[in-house]
Amino acid sequence: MNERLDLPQGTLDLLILKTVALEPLHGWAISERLQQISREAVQVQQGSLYPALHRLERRGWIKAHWAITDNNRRAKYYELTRQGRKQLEAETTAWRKLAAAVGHVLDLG
Amino acid sequence: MGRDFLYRLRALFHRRAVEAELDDELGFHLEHQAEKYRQAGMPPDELSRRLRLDFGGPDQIREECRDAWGIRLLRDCAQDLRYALRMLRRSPGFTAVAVLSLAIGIGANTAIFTLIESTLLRPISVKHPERLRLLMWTAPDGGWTAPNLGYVSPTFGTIYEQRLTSDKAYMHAEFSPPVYRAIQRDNTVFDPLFAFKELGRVTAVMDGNAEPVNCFLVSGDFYRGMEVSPVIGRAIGPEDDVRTPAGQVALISFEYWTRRFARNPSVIGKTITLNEVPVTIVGVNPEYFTGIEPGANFEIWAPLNLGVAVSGRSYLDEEKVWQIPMLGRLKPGISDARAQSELEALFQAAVASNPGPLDSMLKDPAKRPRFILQSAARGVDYLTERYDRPLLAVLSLAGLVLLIACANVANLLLAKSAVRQREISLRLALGAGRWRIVRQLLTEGLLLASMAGIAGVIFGYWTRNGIPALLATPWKPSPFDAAFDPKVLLVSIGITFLTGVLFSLAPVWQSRRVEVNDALKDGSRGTASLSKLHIGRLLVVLQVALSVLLLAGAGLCVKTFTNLRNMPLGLRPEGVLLFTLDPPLLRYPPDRIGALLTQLQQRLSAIPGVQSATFSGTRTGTSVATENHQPITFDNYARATDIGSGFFETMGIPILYGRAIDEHDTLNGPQAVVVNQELARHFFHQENVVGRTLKGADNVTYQIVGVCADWRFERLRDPFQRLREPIYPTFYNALIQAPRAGRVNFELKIAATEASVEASVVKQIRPVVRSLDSDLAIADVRTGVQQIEDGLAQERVLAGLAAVFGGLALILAAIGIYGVMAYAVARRTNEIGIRVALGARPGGVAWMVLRETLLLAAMGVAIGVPAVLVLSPVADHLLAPGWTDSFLYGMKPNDPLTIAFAVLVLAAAGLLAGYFPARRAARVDPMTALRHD
Repeated sequence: MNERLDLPQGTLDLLILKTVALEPLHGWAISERLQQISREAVQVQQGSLYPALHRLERRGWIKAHWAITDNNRRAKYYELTRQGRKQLEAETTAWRKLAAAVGHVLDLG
Repeated sequence: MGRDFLYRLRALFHRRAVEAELDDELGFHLEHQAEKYRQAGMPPDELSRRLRLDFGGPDQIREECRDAWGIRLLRDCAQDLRYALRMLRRSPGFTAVAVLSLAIGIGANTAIFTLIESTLLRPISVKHPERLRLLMWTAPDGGWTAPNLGYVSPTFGTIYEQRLTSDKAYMHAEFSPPVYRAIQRDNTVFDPLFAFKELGRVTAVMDGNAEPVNCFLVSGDFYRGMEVSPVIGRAIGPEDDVRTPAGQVALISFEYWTRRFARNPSVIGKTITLNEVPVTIVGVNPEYFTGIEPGANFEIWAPLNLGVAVSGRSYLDEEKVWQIPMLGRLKPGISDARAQSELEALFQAAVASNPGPLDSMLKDPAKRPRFILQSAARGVDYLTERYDRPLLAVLSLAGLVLLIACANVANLLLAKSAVRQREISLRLALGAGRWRIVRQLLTEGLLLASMAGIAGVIFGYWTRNGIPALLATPWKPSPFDAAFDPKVLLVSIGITFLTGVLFSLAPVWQSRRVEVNDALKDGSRGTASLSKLHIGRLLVVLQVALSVLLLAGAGLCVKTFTNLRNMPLGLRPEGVLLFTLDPPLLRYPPDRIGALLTQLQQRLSAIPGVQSATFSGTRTGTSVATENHQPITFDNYARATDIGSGFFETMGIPILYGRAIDEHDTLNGPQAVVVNQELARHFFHQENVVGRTLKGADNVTYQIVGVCADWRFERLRDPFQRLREPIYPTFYNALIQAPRAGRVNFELKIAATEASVEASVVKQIRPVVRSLDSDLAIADVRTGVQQIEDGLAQERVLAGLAAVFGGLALILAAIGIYGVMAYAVARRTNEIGIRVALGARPGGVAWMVLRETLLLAAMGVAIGVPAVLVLSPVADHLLAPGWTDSFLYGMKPNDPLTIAFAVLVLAAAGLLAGYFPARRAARVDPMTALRHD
């Protein structure tokens, strides 16, 4: 539990974009998916997911619609927009570059 | 970007739906999470703790989501605004005083700026006015161009336009025909260059009805050059601009078309008679085009040749007379410098080959005339020169009032915010950011300012015609029309915003010093002395200083007005009725004018209620020689006026020696003149000069038959400003003996001054004139008193406005003093209570407060009086009309009585304002005060 990492600034957005890239998901599903794919290593306070979702929606990278879930409940689904896909690609590349560069520097030491 | 905006809009305007969705969304999440834990077998009490831990505080999350919607700032502002409104509503007295004083300030500035915009800034309404140029010339001190000679001169015709240049040389806008032709022919910078001429008032006869109209003459290229097309009919073109046209044509103004012809298009082709000349109307000017002289109103627009037909004189043929004004439209791409240098060369060459009366100037290189090119974007602009300085003066007064109002509101806000220090500390303690507090204070300030701004603009819109109306007279329209322009609104909004920020600065500055726990501890139980209110006191001192300035200025203006008004005129204007007659030259040439005037005089005298009737011609000036045959020099200048019999009696001017001009002075008798005392003194160095002779420049010898007392206001149409001039040597000759065509003033003395008699006489003038000749039109019917009032209009308006602004400043300063002192007393109630409990007498307590008040006032006066001493001579000089150095009349700018008056009035107002807080302080009951929290 203690080894969980706090997310660096801005990475939450990237992770959300990645998560909704495959299929439209509602908030809780995104939260669950994040936990799973990050193997519970990343500490995301569930609540702080929502401000991030709303911010991304305002920017037009994801869009939301209300739909009925499998258990017949109304939920707000988020999906990636075309603009969001571009953003995801750009951020992924940037992140890889940064990670490689930081790793390189650390290896030098 | 667009989507972002829509998103924010939805969040803002569908707030409820968006919030509900958010609740649903968060609820959905929590339910699923709870379900998950429940299925994992978590006990219910553990469950809710875990949920909170995972999720965080729902309210905080909600707030963060709202942040994400990007409407937080807007929402906060709306909240600030609601809060500010609540604060203002809670103290309606404060709000009313603040809004009212600011509204007056903003309103006054709006009204005056409207006037300035339409009088000094707005270009004439033609296409591309910025490319129009007026051609002018000047000569340093060229004899006849000296001040005070700006009227009819036999050599130069009417001097159309004269302006003072910075070095006090006159500028002229009129050229001689050879110069006009040379520039017209050889210039390459204008397309086109055109001439114009104001013909003035003529009598229009149409369908048996005679009326006076104003007529403007233009050369053939005028309409092309101004780029004006008529609404109906055609413009004047080069084909109309010939010496002897087959028939006279004219356009009429839109206003005349509306007033006289009810916009009937059949007016085209109609013939009207202008001073006996039949003229065919060929077109109507568009509504927007009112001419090239702002403020002037010409009904008739005709080619220059109408002037020849009407007056028998041809402006373009009198080779030695400088009387042709010219305008040009610069070709695209031609710079002013290029035009100036080309035209200067053309001008110099033309003058050198046809010097005419400029001969003497050419001999002296220092006196050579110079050519000047002037912007004519505002046309031929008389208004600027006449009104720019008074208007700017009034604007500065209004600006000062606004500044005082700002100081006042700042002070009121300050006192309020000081009371609110506790609240501010509390908010700081509860975690409000300082910026948030500042924003709250700014919002309150701007809200106040906006309310005042709206009220002020409405007030300004209503009063914008106030000043023009004050300058208008029953017989002539106001010189300017204050049309409201969107630009003015922008300026008002700017002023409003600026004032809002300005007076919010004080409380913001003060809030900066509030510490979180400071005010909470201190509370209203303050023993704080006045020194805690640095800014407040400073503002009051500033207010007092500005008020001293305004009051002293108002005092000086009012005193100048009353001095001018009380100046002995040497005549009795009461019960005198005046009107003007312009007999057409063709109908009444010089040999017939005498008979007309004499008959008219007889018939007018016979109107019941009229004691006497007389007439006078236009004033001229001439050099005169006495029988000693002094050489004729500039020093020998005298004014001359043609008059009818009974003139002195009608006007109430005493004859000191000899007799007046009377019916014995007939056409064939000896040329008789009456001279004024000044002429007798100046030319003969004695009082009684009856029997002596005078010789005019025309070589006519006049017999002096009488001496009249000096009187001012010799020429009844002169602006009264000229009252300030010294009395000139003047002689009066019998018009009958030297008949001249042209304008005549009639003067009637009425037996009783009751309005009813006056009205019945006025009603009969027109029928009487018509009974003699139905084609004669009378104009400018007015009373002697009205005429004098009109002459003082500018001074009166300035004095009135200054007095109003001074009064406002006084009231605002008093409110400011009262506010600060009342606040101080309220703050110090505990301290005062202790003092009283310890044995201080009520008188002593009251004096303590009054002393503070007087100290504030004294500090303000100590700044204000030196400011007056420095600024009033400057303002006096700036306001001075061109021909004198001083606007003020009968006193110096640092008139000690006026300044003392301002100080005394202010001290009295200060004492009055301090009296109420002092009384309250004296009545403090120690028991209540000490319990008071």
